[in-house]
Amino acid sequence: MTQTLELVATTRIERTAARRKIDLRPAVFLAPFVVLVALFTYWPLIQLVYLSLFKLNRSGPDRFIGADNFLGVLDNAQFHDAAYNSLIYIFLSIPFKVFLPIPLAVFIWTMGAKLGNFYKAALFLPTLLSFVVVSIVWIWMLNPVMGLFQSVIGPLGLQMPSLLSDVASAIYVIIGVGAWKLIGFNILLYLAGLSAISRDYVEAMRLDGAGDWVVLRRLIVPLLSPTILFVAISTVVFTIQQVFTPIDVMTQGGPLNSTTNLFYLVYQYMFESFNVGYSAAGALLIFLLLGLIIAAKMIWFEKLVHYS
Amino acid sequence: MATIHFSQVCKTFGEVTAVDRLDLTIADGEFTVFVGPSGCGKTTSLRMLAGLDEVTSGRIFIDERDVTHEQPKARDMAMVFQNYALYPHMTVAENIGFALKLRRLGRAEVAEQVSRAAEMLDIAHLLQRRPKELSGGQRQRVAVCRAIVRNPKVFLFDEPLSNLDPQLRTSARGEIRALQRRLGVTSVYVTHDQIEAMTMADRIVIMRDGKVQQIGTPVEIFERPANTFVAGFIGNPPMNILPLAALGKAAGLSPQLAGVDQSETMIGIRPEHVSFVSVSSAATIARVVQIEMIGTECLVHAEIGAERIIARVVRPLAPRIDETVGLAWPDDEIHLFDASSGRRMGQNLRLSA
Repeated sequence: MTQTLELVATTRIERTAARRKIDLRPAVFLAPFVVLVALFTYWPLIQLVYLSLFKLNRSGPDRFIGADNFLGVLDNAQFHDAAYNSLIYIFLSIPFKVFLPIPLAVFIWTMGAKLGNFYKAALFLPTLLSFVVVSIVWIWMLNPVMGLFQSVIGPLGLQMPSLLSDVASAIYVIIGVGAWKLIGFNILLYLAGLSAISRDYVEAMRLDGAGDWVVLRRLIVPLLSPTILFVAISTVVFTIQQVFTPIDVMTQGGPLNSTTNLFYLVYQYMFESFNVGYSAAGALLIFLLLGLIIAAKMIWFEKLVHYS
Repeated sequence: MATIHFSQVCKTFGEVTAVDRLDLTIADGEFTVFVGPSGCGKTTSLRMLAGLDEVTSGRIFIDERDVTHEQPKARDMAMVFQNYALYPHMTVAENIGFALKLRRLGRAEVAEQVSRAAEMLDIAHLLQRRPKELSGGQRQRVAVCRAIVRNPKVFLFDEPLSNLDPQLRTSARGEIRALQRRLGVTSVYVTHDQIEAMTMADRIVIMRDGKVQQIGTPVEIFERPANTFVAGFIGNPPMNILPLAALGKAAGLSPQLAGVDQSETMIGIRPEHVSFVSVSSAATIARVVQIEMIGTECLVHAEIGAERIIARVVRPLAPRIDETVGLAWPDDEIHLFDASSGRRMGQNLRLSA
């Protein structure tokens, strides 16, 4: 009897001791990720806040200047142009990059596997190309003297306008090239979403008396809404950042700031005018803008979506 | 209200013939069941009728109208799918009322018809739920309700009960049949379950490899199967089909069998018609190899030489395993089939039919 009691007592002590010892294994597995994210995302972010609030001084301590950088940036005409263009990039991108791929994806979805795969591959190809290469190729194609389009319409007595050096058109060229490159990728995302929709629903709806348009609007779009929201958010974020490359390669923000955007401007502040404070303040404002978009997604758009 | 007529309807997928020259007329208000093993073409036939699959050749008529190439929405049919295909983003009420809404009926009228149909199927309390909040049986009712609310010309059922558990299946098939009788709508029902076919159908169409094997009432098909496939498919356990020669002298005893070429003939006997008699008076001797208890009755598996035969008898009459028994059956309960083609022979052989 006493023996048993002792035995029980020892096991209990051992168990408590084991419980007290913290299991380090999860921490070990998480460490690489935590370290990388902390080092390359959160530490720079903290630095960014610091840079935006201080004036760097080579021969003395940095000077705290409060919101001066932010006020300066917000008062800057170039910044206004860039902010305005950013909105144009976003809002014009949505119909072309988010909505246009929906009917295209549905069309491919209804095809047989063979033809569908061909179209998938053909439309996805631009996604694989480097944006720098794509931009250069488009510059050449659009060249009003010796470009591809000129060589096609030249014999008809027509003259290709100089789209990239015209304030009125340059931004649309960049939006178009961005859409051309991204559509295939978004189509693939939609096709992934569509593959989860049972074709029985479509057939049931057809027997209920629905035509193509009703099937698209009342069945496919609601069931695809989680994917649509995802594509919309990722496209907006992607558009704000990725459009940097075609801007830099095709127009450098010109003519007359007509194609610059916030991202490009922040880059110019930093690496062309070496205004670290403005650059940091601008970057934080972009961070804020993207944060607002994500918040809007979580507050409003999630409600419009049907999650099955 | 409609009659349906298939005329020489074929469907091929590449090299494969899914439905081969289907000829069938379904009378107004009739409940026709297509039955057969998977891949026999029954579902394809239904889908062609619905307009969901193109017809390769042949024509389909509803009443006198040729609908072969018409869109599904022009055919005025309602279908209950195997997995019900309830729109997941709509409530039950919206699911049921969707077709009515497409016909531009007023909101009040839609609501009224939906609730009337829902009452009929006892699902009125579920109208505000979404399909994922329903049990399998409730979903099935909603699917049926969605079909009847439109008051269509034809009901199509594509294995609507195969996802239900057995008890529910039994009660649901009775309800569907009662509902169809009350509404009097011509119906085509596809199943692989011969019991569903037998219990529900006015007429059964048995298919195999795209070809119709037999069309007839359940009684006709049970009593006069057109070939060995039908004989083996309908009935549980299936009919015993043996080469006539295997029965030895028994074959010679029966007056009906005089003049039949034994080597070219198969004999079919339903298990419930096999009885045990004393070995001395029996024409056919067998050895019992297995006994399965299925309730009041049991299934006795016996071997006649290399052939196996199953008898279905009440339990007290069952022999023991390894016992040698004599077998007997009424002369007018045997079916004869041609050994090479499998077709039923001598249509007047079965005297009681």
